[in-house]
Amino acid sequence: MIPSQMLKGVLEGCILEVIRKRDTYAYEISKQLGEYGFGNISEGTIYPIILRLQKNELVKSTLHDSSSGPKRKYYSLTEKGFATLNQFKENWQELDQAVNELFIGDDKK
Amino acid sequence: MNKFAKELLRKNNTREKEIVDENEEIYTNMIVYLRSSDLTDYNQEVVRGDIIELILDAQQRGDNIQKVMGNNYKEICDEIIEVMPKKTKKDKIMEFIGTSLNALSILGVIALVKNFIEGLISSSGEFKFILKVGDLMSAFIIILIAYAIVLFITKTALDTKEEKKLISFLKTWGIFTLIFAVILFSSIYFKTIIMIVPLWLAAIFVLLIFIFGKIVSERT
Repeated sequence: MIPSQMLKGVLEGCILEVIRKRDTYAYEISKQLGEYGFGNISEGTIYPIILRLQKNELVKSTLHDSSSGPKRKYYSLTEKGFATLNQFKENWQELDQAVNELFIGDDKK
Repeated sequence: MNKFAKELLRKNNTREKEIVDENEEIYTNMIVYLRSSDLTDYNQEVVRGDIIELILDAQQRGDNIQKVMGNNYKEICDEIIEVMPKKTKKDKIMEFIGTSLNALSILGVIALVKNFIEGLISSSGEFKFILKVGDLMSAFIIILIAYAIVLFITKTALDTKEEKKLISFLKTWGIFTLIFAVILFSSIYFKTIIMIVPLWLAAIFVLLIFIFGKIVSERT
């Protein structure tokens, strides 16, 4: 299980990527993250992050009919959201490279 | 509360009826805790609507609120509160004035009834409204105590520490004793009369306080 402190910094970017793949709602985001190996991330954890993304105008919400009950809130990326996601991916690659370099690199450096 | 918030409140009141008993207690505690925050009434209702949606969706799947919210409800609520826009100073002052005027109008009605009964049983048969220093003092203190109680209940709604029944009983008993002591003390020791007016005039004044309180509340 990934420690929550470690997840905190990257969850925003990962949620943006899940939403980029397809307009979706809180439960689906939680399920998708679980399937990608993030462990059990509840909708309660995701909801404040989505609120922050909305506040920063990175995602917008629309109500869609649901097959199983009342209308459901679906989230989609805004243009600013796409730009932020691309920036996140670049930052992540840099971090990934640096951490891997540290872990598997030459000890004598 | 403005009309948009009221509309959302009505909608949420209807939708929350679908929440099953098993999920009710935690949901209520979360909403009570959110009510203690500085979120505007409208944003409180937006968040409440979203939480209801998450719970109802989970119920459809056969999940419960623990599965949806994880276990740290307080932390989730704090994160929500941190993200959402807050009331301005002006909003807070207007809300305080509106709530205080509404409370004052209720206390006014009680005082009107008291003075009416006194008029009925008095030998003169006159219906007068007598305002004493003690009446004003007890009204002021009752409103302050009411604010303190509401703040205490909402702020501690998600506290996980179980309080012993005896301590909880003593606290409740203490608060009510304090309220009665204030009313009794001020009516015994502060009898100086501020004014005497006909009861109908006092009734109009109380009605004006009520209307003014409603107008202020509608605008926040």
